[in-house]
Amino acid sequence: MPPLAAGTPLALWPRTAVLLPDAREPVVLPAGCRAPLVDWCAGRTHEVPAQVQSALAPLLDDAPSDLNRVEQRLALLDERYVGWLPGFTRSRDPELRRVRAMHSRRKAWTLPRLARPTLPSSTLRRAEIIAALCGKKILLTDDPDGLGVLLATNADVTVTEPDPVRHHWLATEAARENNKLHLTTNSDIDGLFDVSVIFCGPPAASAAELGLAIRCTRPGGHIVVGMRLPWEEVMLSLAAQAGLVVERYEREIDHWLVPGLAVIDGGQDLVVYRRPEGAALPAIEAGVAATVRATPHGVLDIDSVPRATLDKTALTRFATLLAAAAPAAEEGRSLHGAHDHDVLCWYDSRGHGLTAELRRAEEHLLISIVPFDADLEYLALWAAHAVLCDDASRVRPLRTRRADKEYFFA
Amino acid sequence: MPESAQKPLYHLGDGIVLGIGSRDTQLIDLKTDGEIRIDFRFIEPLEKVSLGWSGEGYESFLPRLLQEGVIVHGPATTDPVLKTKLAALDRLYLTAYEAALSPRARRAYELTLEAHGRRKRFFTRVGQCPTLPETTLRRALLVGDAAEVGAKKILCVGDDDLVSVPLAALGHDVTVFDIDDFLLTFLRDTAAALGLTLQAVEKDLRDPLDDAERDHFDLFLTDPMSNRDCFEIFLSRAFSLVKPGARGYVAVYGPTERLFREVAAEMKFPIVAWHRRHNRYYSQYMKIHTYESDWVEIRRDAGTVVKHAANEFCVPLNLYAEQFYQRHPIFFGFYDEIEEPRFATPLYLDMILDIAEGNSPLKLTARHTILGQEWTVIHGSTDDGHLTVHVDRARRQLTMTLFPMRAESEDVLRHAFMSGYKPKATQAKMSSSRDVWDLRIR
Repeated sequence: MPPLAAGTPLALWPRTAVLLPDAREPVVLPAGCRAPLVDWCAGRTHEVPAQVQSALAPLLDDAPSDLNRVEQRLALLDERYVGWLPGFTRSRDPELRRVRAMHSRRKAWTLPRLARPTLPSSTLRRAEIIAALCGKKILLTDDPDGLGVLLATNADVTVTEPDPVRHHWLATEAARENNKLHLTTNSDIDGLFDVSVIFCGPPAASAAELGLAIRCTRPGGHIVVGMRLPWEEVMLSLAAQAGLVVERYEREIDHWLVPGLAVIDGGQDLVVYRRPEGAALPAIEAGVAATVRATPHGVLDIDSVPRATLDKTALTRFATLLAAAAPAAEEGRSLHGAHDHDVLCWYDSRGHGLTAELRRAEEHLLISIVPFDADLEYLALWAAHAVLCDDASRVRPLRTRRADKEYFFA
Repeated sequence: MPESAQKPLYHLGDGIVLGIGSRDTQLIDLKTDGEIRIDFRFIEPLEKVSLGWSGEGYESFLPRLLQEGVIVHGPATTDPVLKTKLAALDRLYLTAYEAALSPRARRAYELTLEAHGRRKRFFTRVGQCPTLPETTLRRALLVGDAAEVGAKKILCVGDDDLVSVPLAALGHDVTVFDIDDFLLTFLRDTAAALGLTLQAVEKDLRDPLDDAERDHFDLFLTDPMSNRDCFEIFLSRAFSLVKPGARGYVAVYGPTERLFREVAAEMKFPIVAWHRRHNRYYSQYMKIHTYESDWVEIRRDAGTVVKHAANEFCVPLNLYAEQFYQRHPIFFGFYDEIEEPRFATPLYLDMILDIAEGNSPLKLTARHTILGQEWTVIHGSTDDGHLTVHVDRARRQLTMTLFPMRAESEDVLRHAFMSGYKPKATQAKMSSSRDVWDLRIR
């Protein structure tokens, strides 16, 4: 049996472990596999228990650990998605190779918190912008793609990372680079930083991130915000009310990755604010109802679904993967068909879920998420890519609608 | 003696543009966001005046147009309003790479921005939707600076994106083939004004090619509509016009990637590079278009075959429509702080849906309930889509999703939900885009 190692395509979702073979659809592993695999990926054990190894044995032949394969795929995706920047991949080749190598050494994918994993080129572009800001003491409140490791080459970097798998990966990479990366699982940060890097989320999460950044960033320092749909309105409004001053707006700097190494069109902006003296967080409406009120729904459009997967069977497999990956157990689902389309309605025990309509003639998948739930959005994108899509399938761009005060779409 | 030497010229005032659409034509004032609908009889004179014209034959209209600022004296020039707005849109992307631009590339960008700032007519009827000046520059930079890669004989198959301008600025020998005589005149005038040299030739690609034109160019660029007919005719003509082994760049709308790859396989040309989301476009309102496209580098190989022989006429069926799914809008209705959540249970929700079915075209072919402790989802299929109703009794919030949006059904459902759960609503907010209708009631 091939050994489990970094580069093995593995996803450790909140309740299950999933193997991601190249040649076929993801395989949900037996119930007892997740905890030992988390322990192994988090560096708590050096060996995967024998019973897990034997459960995985027949599957690993189809999903070998192959760092080169991962790096090659990432290089292809970088070229595809950052090719619009004149000369970028050529001029940054050594740096990109370094980031790709680091990304390929991730032992497993886990559910993102606020920030999402991105292409190596996105990580590098963010690192270059942040590294150019004044000051050498940097705080990151989330780091799914090794930004902190890159910044720590020339700065004193603190990263909040409660996820044990990502935490271990970042620690290992920092040790490999022998740099100054301080990792903590505690979001109650103490100290004053030159730069704080935060992310937007539902209103309460955005406010918590911004409050932390204002408290921990010295006056005159910078607060760097990852700005994403559908919460840019919330964060832009909070930042403006807090008195932060926009210094730079980098549009669609991030391209999000989902396990299986598929890229979502669109992505996240990066906004660099200066933190003035006297910046203060405004009061916001808190609670779950306020979160839903801010974003009651979300829509995903996936075009060019291959003809081979345009049927009820594929939608059923999509629901099965979603049920395995979702943070809460499935409560119920329904699947109906008409002459030109099939519709799945799926909800978990929290009352979060989605409706997915697959239209055969149009080769199109429409997913509406009610109430909007970023975890389900990410997992639905992953499950759709895993069972319904191929390399030519495209998610209609998820992108912010404004830059600072300006709405710029027709 | 040219007309311009005999009579004074006029051009459209600053911030005034002419938008010629498939349904109507408007004069748009970008300074005030005002619009005036234009009778079709005035399209031609307004096109002429957008290029700088004496107004011959329309003298009686001139005083009023001058008085209202629609036209001003003088030959056509760069419009400072357009230039400022386009420069602001360009900043969204340009900041990512402008520091790396060479002085020649910077000059090429400035000239491209000037050229786009001179264009005052937008012919959306035939699918013209220009790229941002910064995108136009990036297209040229992929070809390269003639000082580094050598001067190339370049063919632009259609050029409403004005990519000929930065290519000429970077030292290449550029020829534009286009069917739009307005655009050709515009390109010639603009090139002259900017001190650039390029050839603008009227050419209908459906006509056979001259022998002298074949195997002539080193490279081509084109941004066709993304449909099979357009791909086949544009690429057939382009491959006949360039030398064997020559490169080409084609804009492809993302969702049609599979179609383009099929055409590539049939015509046996290699895809050298695929730059996703390379091309960003703007509308006549000087806003970013939601449409964007990929930029694909291909090559004419020894084995490349054309679908339309160079010496034959071709009759495409579909030149002016993208070949992808324009989905109907989806409707979301969000009812916040509902007043009687204890009645938002499956029994009552089913009754509301029964009422809606009895009083509207809505017909649910199947109905399914998912029930939690504090929430309920009722999902129904229709002949052409679905309806999902989600209610959270603890949070007192109800959301309805209707796809596709059908006004009659939505109207009845809204009245029923309002009567049942929001009889004292104080706020209603509606927003709509091409894809989503979003109603929020509180």
